[in-house]
Amino acid sequence: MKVKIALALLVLIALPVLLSPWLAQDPSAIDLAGRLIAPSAAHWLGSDELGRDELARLLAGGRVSLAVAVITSALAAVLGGLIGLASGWWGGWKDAALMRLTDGIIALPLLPLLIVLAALDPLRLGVPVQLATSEGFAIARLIVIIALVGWTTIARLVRAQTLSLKARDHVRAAIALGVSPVRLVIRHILPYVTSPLLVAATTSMGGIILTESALSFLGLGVRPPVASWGNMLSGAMDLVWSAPLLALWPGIAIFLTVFAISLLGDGLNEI
Amino acid sequence: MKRMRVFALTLALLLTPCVVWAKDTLTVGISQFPSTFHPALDTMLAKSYVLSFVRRPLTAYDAHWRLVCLMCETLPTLANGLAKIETLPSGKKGIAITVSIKAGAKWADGVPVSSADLLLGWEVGKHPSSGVSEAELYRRVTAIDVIDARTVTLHVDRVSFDYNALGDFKLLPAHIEKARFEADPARYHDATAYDRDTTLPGLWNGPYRIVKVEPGQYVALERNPYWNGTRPAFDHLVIRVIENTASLEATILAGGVDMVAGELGLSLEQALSFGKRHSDQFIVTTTPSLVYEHIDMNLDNPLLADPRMRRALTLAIDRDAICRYVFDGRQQPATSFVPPLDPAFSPDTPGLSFDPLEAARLLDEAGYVLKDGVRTGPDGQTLSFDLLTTAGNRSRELVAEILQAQWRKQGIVVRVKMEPPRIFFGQTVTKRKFHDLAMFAWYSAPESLPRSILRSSEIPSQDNGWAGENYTGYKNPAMDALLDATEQEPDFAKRKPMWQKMQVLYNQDLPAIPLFFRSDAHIWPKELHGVTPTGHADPSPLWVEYWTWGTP
Amino acid sequence: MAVMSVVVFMLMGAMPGDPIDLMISGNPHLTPADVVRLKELYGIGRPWPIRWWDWVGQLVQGQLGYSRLFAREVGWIVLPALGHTALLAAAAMLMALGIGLPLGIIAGAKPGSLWDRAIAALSYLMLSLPTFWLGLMLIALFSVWLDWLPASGSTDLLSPHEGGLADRLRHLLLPAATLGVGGAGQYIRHMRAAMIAQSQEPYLRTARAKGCSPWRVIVTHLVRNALLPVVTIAALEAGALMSGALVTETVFAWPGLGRLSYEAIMGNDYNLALSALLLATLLTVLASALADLAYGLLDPRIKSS
Repeated sequence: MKVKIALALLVLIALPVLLSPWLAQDPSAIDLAGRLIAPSAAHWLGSDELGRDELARLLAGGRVSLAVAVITSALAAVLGGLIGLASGWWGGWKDAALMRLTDGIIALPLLPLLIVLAALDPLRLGVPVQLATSEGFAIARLIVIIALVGWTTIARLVRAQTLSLKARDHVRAAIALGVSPVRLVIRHILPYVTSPLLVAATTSMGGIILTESALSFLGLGVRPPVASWGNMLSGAMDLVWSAPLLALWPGIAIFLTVFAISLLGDGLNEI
Repeated sequence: MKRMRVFALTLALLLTPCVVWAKDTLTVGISQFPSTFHPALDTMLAKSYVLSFVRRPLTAYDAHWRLVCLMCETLPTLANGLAKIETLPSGKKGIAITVSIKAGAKWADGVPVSSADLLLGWEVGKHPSSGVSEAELYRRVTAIDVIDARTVTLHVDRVSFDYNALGDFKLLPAHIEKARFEADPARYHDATAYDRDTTLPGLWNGPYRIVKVEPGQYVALERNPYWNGTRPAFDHLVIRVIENTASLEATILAGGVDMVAGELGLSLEQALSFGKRHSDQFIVTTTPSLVYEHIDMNLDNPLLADPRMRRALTLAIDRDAICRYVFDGRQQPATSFVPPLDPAFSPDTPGLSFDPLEAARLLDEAGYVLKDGVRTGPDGQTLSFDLLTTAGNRSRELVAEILQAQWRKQGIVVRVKMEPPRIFFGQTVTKRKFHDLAMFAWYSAPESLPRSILRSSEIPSQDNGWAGENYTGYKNPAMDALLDATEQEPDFAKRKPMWQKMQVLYNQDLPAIPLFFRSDAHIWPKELHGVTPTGHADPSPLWVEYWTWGTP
Repeated sequence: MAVMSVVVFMLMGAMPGDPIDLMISGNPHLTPADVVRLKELYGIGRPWPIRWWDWVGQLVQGQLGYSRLFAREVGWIVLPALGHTALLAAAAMLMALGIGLPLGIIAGAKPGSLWDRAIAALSYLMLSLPTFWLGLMLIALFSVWLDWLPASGSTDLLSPHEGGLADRLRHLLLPAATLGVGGAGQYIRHMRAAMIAQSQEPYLRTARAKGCSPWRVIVTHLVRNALLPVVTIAALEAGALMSGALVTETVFAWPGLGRLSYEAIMGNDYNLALSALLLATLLTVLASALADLAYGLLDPRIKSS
C-alpha cells in the first residue's frame, strides 16, 4: 500500500518534470513587464521576479534536483557497496581499517565539512578554467561532494549483510571448494545484498535533496542561472514577504518528493 | 492551583510581545559584523558604519558630497592660506597643510583630543609592520610640525588635488594606544585596545561610545558624556547584525530593529517592495551611491579588442528597462564611471541608451551576421561570450540573467557563470582569469581618480605581482595623460574640464560596459527624523546627533 | 583529531583568495606595497605545513591563536558561541524527545491503528521539510503575523528583561523548534520501530500471559526496553545537532558555533575555522562515546558479548 502510494506520487512528480521540455513554456523566457504576477491561466503558478513562468521553472529545476539526487545516491551506493563488500569479505585488519574510516567519516561534522569542500577552488586543484566555470562542473562537484560523505550507512549495511552471508553453509562450502573469490562474491553475495542496497540508496535520495537545498541556502549549491528546487527556494526567501507563493511552490515540490521517497523506503523495508 | 498560576504567568511572559518602552533606545539593523574596531586596521563597510557613531574623522564628505570639517576647525585650502604649496629639498613640489582640532573635542573619558593623537595616528600609519591597510596616505606625509596642543602642520611630499581630504588620516588616543604601540609595533594589531578592550571610553570621541560588544550579534552604544557638539536624541543605540536579509526584514516587522541601514542592509528590490507594503509605518529612501556596477571586458580577447564589438554589446542592452521594471526607476543607468552626485560628474557625456539598430549595424560591420537568430562570424563560428559574476548577490544575479536574454535577442550567445566572491575577487578578476566579461562593482570616494583602474601602467600581470586594478587591460595614452594631469591640478575649476574629457573618452573607448550606480535603500520609521543618507563612503551616522524622534 | 586538523589546513589552503585579496577587492586605495606588507604580516605567503606546525605549537601551549576575522583571541569567540549552540541544541533535543518519544510510544503501542497512521504521517512531514524554509515560516507565523515571539537574536537587547529566564526562553522557542523538528520525526519512527520489535520478544508474552493490564505492560516493560536504542540514537544525534545547527542559526541570527565556522571558512580565518571545526568534531566523537557508554549502562547483555 505504502509502496503504491509512494510510487504513484513519484510518478506524478517525475512525469511532468521529465516531459516538461515538450509540455511547459520556456523556463528562461524573461518578461520584465510581467514580474511577480499571481497565478493565472497564462502562468498557472504565476511568474517569478523576472517574469519567467514559475511552473516551467519548477519543472526545469526538478530535472536538476532529481538528477542530482539519483546520480548522487547511485554513486554513494556503488562506493558504499564496494567498501562494505570488501570490508565484510576480507575481514581482519583490512575490515578494521575500513570500518575505522567509516566511523571517522561519520564522526566528522558534516555540514561544515561540506561547506569547506564546496568552497574549494577548483583552479588550485589543477582543474582547467574553462571546465571549472562550466555549468556542469558545479553540479558534478556537488554530486561528488555529497556522495563522498554519504556512502557510510550503505557500507555498514552491506558489510553486515556480507558477514552474515559468509557464515552461511553454501558459501562456506563454496569457499572450501576453492571457487574464486570474485565469482563467489558475484554469484552468492551480490544478489542478496542488492535489494537492501537499493532500498537504502532510494531512501538516501530524500536526504540528498534536503542537503542540496541547505547548501543552496548557504550559496554553495547549484548556482543560477541553472535552476534547482534548492536554489529556487533559497532565492525566493529574499522575496518571502512580498511574494510568499514563490517560496511555497519549490517548498511543496521538495516536501512531496522527500515524503514520497521516505514512504517508498519504508514500504520496501516492510516487504 | 498555585502551580497553575505560576504556569499561566510564565506563559503570559513568554507570549507577550516586547514591551514598548519610552524611546531612549534606537536599534539599527545591519547585515554584517565588523571584523575589527580599530579605525586604521582593515577596511570594511560594517566597521566604518559602526565607527561613524563613535568616532569623528578630521574631514568628511557630507550628504551633498562636499568636503566638510568634522573634527577640525576650518577646512585647510589654498584659498584660505591654511594649505601652501612648498618646494621640497628634492626640487619637487609638496604641500603644507595646517589643521586645528576642534576646540573642546574630547575622548569619552574626558581627555582632550590633541596633536599627540594626530601624531600617534601618523606613527602607527606609516610604520611598516603595524598592519594598517592604507599606509600610502600616511607615508606621503614626510613631517609634522606641532604648533600647539591642537594645531599641527602636515608636510605632504606631493601636490594632489584632494590634499585636504583628511578623513582617512585617523586620530588615535595617545593616552591609551601609544604605550601599546610602542611596546611592540609588530604585535600592535593584536594588542590594540580597540579590539582588546573595545568598551574603554577613551577610545571614542563621537557623540556615542561603545559600551558592549557581542561578536556576531550586536554593538551597544551610550551617549558620550564629554561630547561637546549637539546632544544626540537617544540615550542608547544598538546596532544589531542579522546577516540573512529575509530574517532582517522579519526582524524589522517584528519590532526587533527600528531601522535598517541603507549602507549595509536590504537589497534595493527588497526595500522597495517592503516600502510598498508598509508605507504606513516606514519611510524608504533611496540614494544613488557611488557603487558603480559595470561589466569589465577583457581587451586581450581579439573579439573584444574591436571597439565596434564593445559598443555593440553596450547598445544591445536595455538598461533603462531594467531600471524601470526591476528597480522601480530608483536606479539610473550610468554613462561612465563617475556617479551623478559627484562634483566631477559631467552631465553632457553622451548617453548609451538601448539602440538595437546601431548594435546590429556594428555587429554586421565587425563581420558577425545574423544566421538563424545567431550572430555568426566569417568562419562560421557563433558569437558567444562567458559572463562571469559573483554568486550570492541576488540583484546582480538577476541583472545578469536579464542581460543574457537581451543579448540573445541580438543573436549574441552569453553564458552566465557565477562564482563565490572569494574565488571571483581572489582569482578570476584580480589575476585577469576571465576571458570575456566580468560583472562587478567598484566602490570609491567622491572625486576619486580612477588611476588604478584606467591607467595603462596598472594592468595586473605576473611580472608586477598582480598589482593594479586595470583588469580590462585598457591602454590609451590620452587617458594616461589625463589621469596624471588631473591628479596634480589643485584647482577644481581647472580640473573639471579634465574630468569631463575623461568621461567622454571612457564613454567612447568603453573598456567596460557601464551599467548603473547602485542605490542605497534606507528604511526608517516615520517617527525618526533628520537622517541624511550620503551614498558614499562616509556613512550617514556621522551626523547621528541630528537624528530626532517625534510624531510622524 | 590531528588528521582532521591537517585535512582542514590542506583544504583551506586549496581555497581561493586570501583575506588580503578580499580586502583589496573592496578598496581601490590599497597599493601593491600595502598588499605585500600585509601578507607578510599575517604570514599568508607561507606554505600550509609550516603554518600547521606553528598552529600545533601554539595549541600545545594552550593557545588557540588569533582570529583575523574578529580581531580577537579565538577562545574568546569560540567559547560563547559554543555555549549558545549547546543551549540551542539542548533545547532542540529536549523538544525533539518531548514530542518524538510520546508520539512514538502511542504509535508503537497499537501499530496499524488510526493514531499510528496519523502520527506516521506527521513524522514524514517533519522529516521532509527544508530547515530554512520551516524557520522562515515559523517567523512569519509567530513573529510577524501573531507577534508573539521575537524573530531573531538570543536576547532582547537593553530591555528590562534582558538575559532573564523568560527573555531567553522566548528567543529560544522558535529556533529550537526549527532545529528539533527533524529529530522529533526521527524519534517517532525509531521509537515506534523499537516498540514493535520489543513487543515480539518472549518476555512480553509472559507478562501478558500473567494477566498484566495492556497499558501496564507497555509502560513498564515495552517502553523501558524500547528506549534503549533510541537513547543511543539521541546521543549520536546530539553531536550532529551541534554542527548541523548552522542553517537554523543563520535564519534566526543565533550567535552559535555553526554560523561561526561558516563565517570563518568563508572568510578564510584559519585559526578560527580550525578551532571551530575541531571542536565540532570533538563533540561528535564525544557524543558517540557517550552513546556507547549509555548503551553499555542500560543494556547488561552488551557486556557479555
